[in-house]
Amino acid sequence: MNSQTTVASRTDLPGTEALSAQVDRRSFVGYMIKGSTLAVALTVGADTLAAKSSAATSRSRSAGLLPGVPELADELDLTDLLLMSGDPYYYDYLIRITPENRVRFELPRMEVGQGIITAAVMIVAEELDVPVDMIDPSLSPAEIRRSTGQITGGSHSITSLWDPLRKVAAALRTMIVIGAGAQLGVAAGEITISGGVALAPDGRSLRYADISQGVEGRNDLARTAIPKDPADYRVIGQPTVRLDARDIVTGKVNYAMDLDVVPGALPTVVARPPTLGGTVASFDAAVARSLPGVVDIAEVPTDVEGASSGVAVIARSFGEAFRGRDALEIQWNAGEAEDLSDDDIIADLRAINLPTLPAVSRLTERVSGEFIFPYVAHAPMETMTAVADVSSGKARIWTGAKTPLAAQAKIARDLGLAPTNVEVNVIKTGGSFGRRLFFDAAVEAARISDIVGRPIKLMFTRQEDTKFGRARPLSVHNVQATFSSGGLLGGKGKVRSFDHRAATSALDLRHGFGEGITAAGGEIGAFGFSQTIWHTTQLLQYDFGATSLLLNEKEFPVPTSSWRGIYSGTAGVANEVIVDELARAMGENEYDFRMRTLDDDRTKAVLERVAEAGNWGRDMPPQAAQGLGVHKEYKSRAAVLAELTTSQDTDEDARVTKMVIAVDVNRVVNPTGLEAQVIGAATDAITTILRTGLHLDNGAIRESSYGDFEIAQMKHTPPEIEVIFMPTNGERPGGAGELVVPAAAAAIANAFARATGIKPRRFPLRDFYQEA
Amino acid sequence: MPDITFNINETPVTIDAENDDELLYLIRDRLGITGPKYGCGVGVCGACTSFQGDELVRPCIVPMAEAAGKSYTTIEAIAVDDVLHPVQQAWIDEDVAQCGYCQAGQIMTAVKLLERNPNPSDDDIDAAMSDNYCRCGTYHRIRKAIKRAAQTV
Repeated sequence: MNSQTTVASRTDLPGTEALSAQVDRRSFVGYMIKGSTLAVALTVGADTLAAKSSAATSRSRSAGLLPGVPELADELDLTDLLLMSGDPYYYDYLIRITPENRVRFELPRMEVGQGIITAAVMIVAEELDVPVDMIDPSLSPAEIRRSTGQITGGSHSITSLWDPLRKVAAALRTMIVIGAGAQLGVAAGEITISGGVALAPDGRSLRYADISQGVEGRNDLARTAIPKDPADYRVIGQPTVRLDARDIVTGKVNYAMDLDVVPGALPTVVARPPTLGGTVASFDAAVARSLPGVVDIAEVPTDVEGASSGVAVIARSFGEAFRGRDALEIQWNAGEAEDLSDDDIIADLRAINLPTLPAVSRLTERVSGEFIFPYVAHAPMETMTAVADVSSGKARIWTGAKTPLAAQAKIARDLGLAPTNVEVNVIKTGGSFGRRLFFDAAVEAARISDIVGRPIKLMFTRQEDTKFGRARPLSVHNVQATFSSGGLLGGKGKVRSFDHRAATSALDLRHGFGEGITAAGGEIGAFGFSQTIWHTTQLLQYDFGATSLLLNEKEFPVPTSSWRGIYSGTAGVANEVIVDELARAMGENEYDFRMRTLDDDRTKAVLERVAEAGNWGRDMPPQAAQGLGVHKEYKSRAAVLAELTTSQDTDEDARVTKMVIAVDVNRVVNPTGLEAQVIGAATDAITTILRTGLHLDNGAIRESSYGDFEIAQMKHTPPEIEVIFMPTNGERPGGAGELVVPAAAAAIANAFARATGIKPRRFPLRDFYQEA
Repeated sequence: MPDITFNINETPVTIDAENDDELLYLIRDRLGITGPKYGCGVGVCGACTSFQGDELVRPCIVPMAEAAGKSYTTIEAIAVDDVLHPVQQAWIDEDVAQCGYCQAGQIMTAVKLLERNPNPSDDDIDAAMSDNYCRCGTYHRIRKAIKRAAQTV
């Protein structure tokens, strides 16, 4: 999508008057948010954006219709917003040279397995000319001065670290070189540094530790530092094994529940209501208290907002806490969710979904579909956990927090403490996938510790994490494309319009992600921020005429959180399925059609690579097929070719047998880390498209563990996976952690359609379609 | 509360525990052996997989009555004098781990697979490893690491 978009003239659309009220509503939703966010871009001087968008707006106004505007995300995307809001706080690192001449480095982000500690250490090692194993990394605790610069999410970590971290390290390098020259009495230009030692031409040397103690705190002067020429890189771009790989394989990594940081912090578990949002009416703990190992029992408000409640059991071991919990006799008040089931939510979402443009002219044909994606648990292997010690007017927390400052602020408000009296230590955790944008366990743990007056270790059981955790919002999508067929003389057809209307269970974004952005852009409000996320992530990278992609949402009492890919893991998949169907309706090969209509050369390049490497169009056995998907987001591009086979045995699931994945992330920092993210995201696509989702039955989530929330296992993943990185294509790395989810999910859905002839419409596919 | 005696990582332990207490929480919360992880508590996910004698076991579903007198080995004890087990080394060489939380269980399961089948096929690996879940999606590298370790075990 871009400014060449053709706008349909009024005469093409009979019944426009009748539609005007709806257009106004769409205009309100679509433009108000686009407008307010565009204003943010204008104030930071995006001149080209101003020119393009005003031209497009005036054209669409003259036509009196909504379409014709380039998608906002084409010009200004979520990565830009995160970087704009975080940038004032980015030039602030602790890089300490210890007396032992090692480098202590604190990363003000969260490691959840995505490998950013290793990548960040590689950047520091590169600029300081030390080996990576000379650096001892840790994660920064919540530090109020970091404001919007201490958020991990939206796949922007490496993009946002790139310039600031290189420049701060480069500034330190300069200090070391100049300091060495002064101490050794030679010109700085004659000093060479390597491996933590500065060397004069005559062979005399100094350790870094003898020259500098390193840097700590805000260092805005470093903005002018000049980092290394990439031509001289010897660390960045080299495959580097995770720095904690040995600790992981020997069982030495301490996750929050393994920590022994507060003596006497006891295992704690919470009995939760039978339905979402339920509260304790009364309870009898007499039997539970008498059980061996049980130390304390207390009623506690649960979830971040305290809207629900439960009974916490504190014991000597988790096993004893579980038995205490099971011995409680609790009377429950039903929550708001009682009587609410998936079908009710789907009906409500259908009712609020904005209409697609009416099918019109006799000259156009139409491809369309309604897509339904279920609630999906994040289901990280480590459930929500936190250690809390609230005493003497202070709270100390150890937890895996991607938004530690939002957690700190929430806990402070909750306990009536100043944020400076709330210490949030960020602990590396066992996975997130969006789940740890929220800090449910930290907030609950602080409350419980405060109530019972002792330090505790709170752990959600797997069953709690599935039933009372958060989920990717259930969503309903209406996608419609119109096209005119090719001429009788053999010309190609043309897509005239493409509409996407998504209605989703509201996405909870109250985790601090938006504070900086909305503060910069004015009061957009809670729902406005969802619109901002939607419009800064959703785009069509095809020359499809008049396009509009709109979101509406409704709040339900089902807790939600962004799930790897945010809206793109659903909306982007629906779009790519319709692209395949358009190609077939227009009598074209799905690959050729994409190459003809894509308006992005980098996307075409990754697609071309997977088609070549994956031998697109090769003969496949019966009931097996190839499928394609592409995605553009986070300043990066992805294309996936998936091969899938289905079985005559309806008990046997479709299996992805091979995947070829090409990504263009501008610059690769750690190829082995990037490949891990790419394959992990592709595995998520197998899980969500083919295998599993949550069900809501009368206010309760049906699934409880991996036994029924069936994520991909070894036997569901392809033995053959090829990952291709495009050559360096820019200075700053683009985002990668979520990039491949939409493209892989689309490729799998499209392969399923080509193997079975069944249109993929409702997910996970195995729940809704017999194998053909 | 009865005293129950068992061996863990070649060390005898006597601990007061109820017969229905699960081994996992005893060794994690009271003995401080934290390599085996809690993932599901019902023996489905495999994050706590360890050895009971020569067999794979999931300590989250082993009641102490059953543990009495048995010998257990956890991830902490399969390297000998700081020399990694070849499976652990293969895990590093293939850079398998992402978040790492499930990997102790994956490695223990792979060790037993290779003891019984020194040259496993893809289907053998599917069969042996599919009941150890990895939410990060490291299966592809687990498969490669098992094949790499098969060359050295």
